[in-house]
Amino acid sequence: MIKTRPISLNEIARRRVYVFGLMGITTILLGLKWISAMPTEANCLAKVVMTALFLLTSAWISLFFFSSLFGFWELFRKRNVPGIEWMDPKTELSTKTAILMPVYNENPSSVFANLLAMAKSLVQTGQAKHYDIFVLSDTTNPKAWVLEEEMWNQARQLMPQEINLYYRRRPKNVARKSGNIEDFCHKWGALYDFMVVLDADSLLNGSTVLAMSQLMEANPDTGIIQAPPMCIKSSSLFSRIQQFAGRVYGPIVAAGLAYWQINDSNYWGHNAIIRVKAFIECCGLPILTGRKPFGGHILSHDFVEAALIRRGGWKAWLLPELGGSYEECPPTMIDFAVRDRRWCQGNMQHLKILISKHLHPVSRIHFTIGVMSYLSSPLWLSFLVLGMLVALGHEYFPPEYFQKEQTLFPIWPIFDEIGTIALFITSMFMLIFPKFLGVIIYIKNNKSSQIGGVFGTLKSLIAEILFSALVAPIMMVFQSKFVWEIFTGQDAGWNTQNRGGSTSWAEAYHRHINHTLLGIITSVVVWLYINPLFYWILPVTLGLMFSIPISVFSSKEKVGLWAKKHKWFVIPEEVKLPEVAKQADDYSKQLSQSKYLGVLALVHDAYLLEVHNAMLEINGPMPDFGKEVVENAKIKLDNYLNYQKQPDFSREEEISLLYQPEVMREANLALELEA
Amino acid sequence: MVKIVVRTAEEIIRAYLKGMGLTKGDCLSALLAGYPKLQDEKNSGHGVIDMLDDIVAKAAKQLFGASSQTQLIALYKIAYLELNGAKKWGVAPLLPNYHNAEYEAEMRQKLLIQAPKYHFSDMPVQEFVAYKPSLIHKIFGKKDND
Repeated sequence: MIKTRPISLNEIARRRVYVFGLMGITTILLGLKWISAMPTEANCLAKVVMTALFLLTSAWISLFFFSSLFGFWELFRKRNVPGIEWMDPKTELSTKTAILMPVYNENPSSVFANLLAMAKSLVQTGQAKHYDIFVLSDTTNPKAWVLEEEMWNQARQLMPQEINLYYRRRPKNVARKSGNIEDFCHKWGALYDFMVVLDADSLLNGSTVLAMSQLMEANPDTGIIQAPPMCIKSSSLFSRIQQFAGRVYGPIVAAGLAYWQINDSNYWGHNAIIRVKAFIECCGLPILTGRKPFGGHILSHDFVEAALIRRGGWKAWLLPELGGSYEECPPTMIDFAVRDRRWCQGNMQHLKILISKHLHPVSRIHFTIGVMSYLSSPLWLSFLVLGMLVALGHEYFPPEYFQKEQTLFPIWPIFDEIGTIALFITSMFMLIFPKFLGVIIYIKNNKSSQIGGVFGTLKSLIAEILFSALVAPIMMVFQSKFVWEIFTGQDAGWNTQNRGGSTSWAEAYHRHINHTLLGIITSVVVWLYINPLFYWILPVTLGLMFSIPISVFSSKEKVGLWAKKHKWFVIPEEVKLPEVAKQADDYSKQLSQSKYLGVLALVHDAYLLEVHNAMLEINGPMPDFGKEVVENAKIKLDNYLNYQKQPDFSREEEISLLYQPEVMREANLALELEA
Repeated sequence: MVKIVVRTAEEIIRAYLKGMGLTKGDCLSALLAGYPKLQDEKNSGHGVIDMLDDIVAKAAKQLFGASSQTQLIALYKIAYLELNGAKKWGVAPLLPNYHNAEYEAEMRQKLLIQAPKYHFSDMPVQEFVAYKPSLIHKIFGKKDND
């Protein structure tokens, strides 16, 4: 059992003063050094802008650095987050928790396999009867919809008796995931004390879920508890490197955040437990005024919900010590960027909320961190471009040694090369040193055989740093483009996250050709005109120039598995897969899919058809597709039944048929008659 | 509706029963004996299907209570198929005045529950009120009592 540690308000304030004070002092010192190191002949405006950009980016890396430093210290001393009351794991629950799995065109067999594994793990705690599971579908693909129902039907029969597995699909996915959860709260929220919110790839140990419910019971003023998720089950090189980085550095980052956030923490949208009452009272999200992408429904709802819960007087915790909380990494750099595009828009939307009244100051910091996660990229890019322009200016507009006013000596331009190098080294140190601290904890807490040996870890650390250095400029350009798109009014839409597959050369060319050209042109310009800077700019241009092969190579599963075989980027969860993940794999094999898809799967299977029909009432009425769509769908189905012509239903046509049980039943009967 | 190539009422009933796992020949005759109207020559193919649906819905209503016809038919067929009703009870449960406590208990226990009954809660929409530039306003703006 984890020991409860008290904390006073003064102590919380002191921790924040330490982190932000150090951040402030470091930023000021770096800023002063920067001002003294800047080339004196640079244009005044350029100096001001560069200084502002430098201060913003320095503050950003300083916060990350000091937060990680304190996180390391907490982990090194094995101290858990203070201020929250822990319970004996054997304590019987007196509350009911709903486990919510919102899905949107995901792979249903993996979703239900994960839920079955979690349920089985919960049964092992002996307290499974206090849980129900809801699959809340916003799926718009009719084939995926039918498949979800098929998998749900199989899963409910495999589900342990103590746990109910429910399913409903919304005909219209208003407000996306937040609307989906809100719909649950509106219809069934009153039946439950707490809800554990998952993502399609989430996996939680039963003991973790139980501990979260117990913590909620023991701390009645708590609104949210976030269990930081860890990436597992990666196979491509890109996702394995992400997984390694998350496993090694993630703990000190999370412990660092928990160190200064205490009970004002954030919510990351999944792998968290929420008090339903608090959520219902505080988290009805408004539609933001103005046009998309800033206006409309709130996309990154999680930060906003945490802020609202905090505004309502409830506490929010990030508890790294919970453990047993897993997710999957995007398999390729392009998938990572696609997800980033969505998150970027969501975070930029927060600019509007950030300045609203009555928010807790720490909530404002969360919003700022979220915004800066993306805004820092165009800031860095602007800083680099401006720096190069100043250098180019130096080449083309030589300094004036003798100005109008007569002076005894010429005015020598001053450029503090040593100072600039010192600043560069300091910045690099602040970015990289926390990674080494993460490794110390990683090696300290895991057996050598579990992590591919100490040497394996160290070589992986170096490789990860090099790989990050190559990928960082690509992501910088990606994110700068995203920010630009958002500020010029382009909406991201809602795409399903890809959770498998690799990047083809054609796709990589399409996505990265601009990065490649930017890298080549910059290198050529720097080589020709500001030659002394060529090697300094190489870490940035190298990644850009080779972005296409890097993207393709890192997306390959074969490469990832080869690296695993040779003990690169090994994490303990790869050496010994967590039991819950192993169970999920086993269940995934048990869940079988019918020969046909969508409407055809139903007309060929009377039982499945009735399962589908039984769900219609809870799913709600058919959206209005118009008479033409409905009639076309019936004609195509007729042609299939009577002339065996494969139907080419549009999405609307197929969905319209799925909402017409009489038509589907007759189609099934027609097939029975033919048999 | 889907066009069904002209068939006899018997063929339609046989296909309908087959969908419930009732493939034995005596099922058809038993059902026709219980519901002679099914053989009415005036019946269209759709008419026969509607009558069969009514029979199933009625049997379902006795077990599961009031709900829409679509829902009742679906719930009944699911429970019946999952319990292998064709083998256990044959067509008998669909015939008028059928009573069997064991059948009723088993069918009720197999009732598919997609989600709990609604317990509505209202989530009040939260407001975000932006700060006005109050300091500038205080210095340069007109005061209300001016």
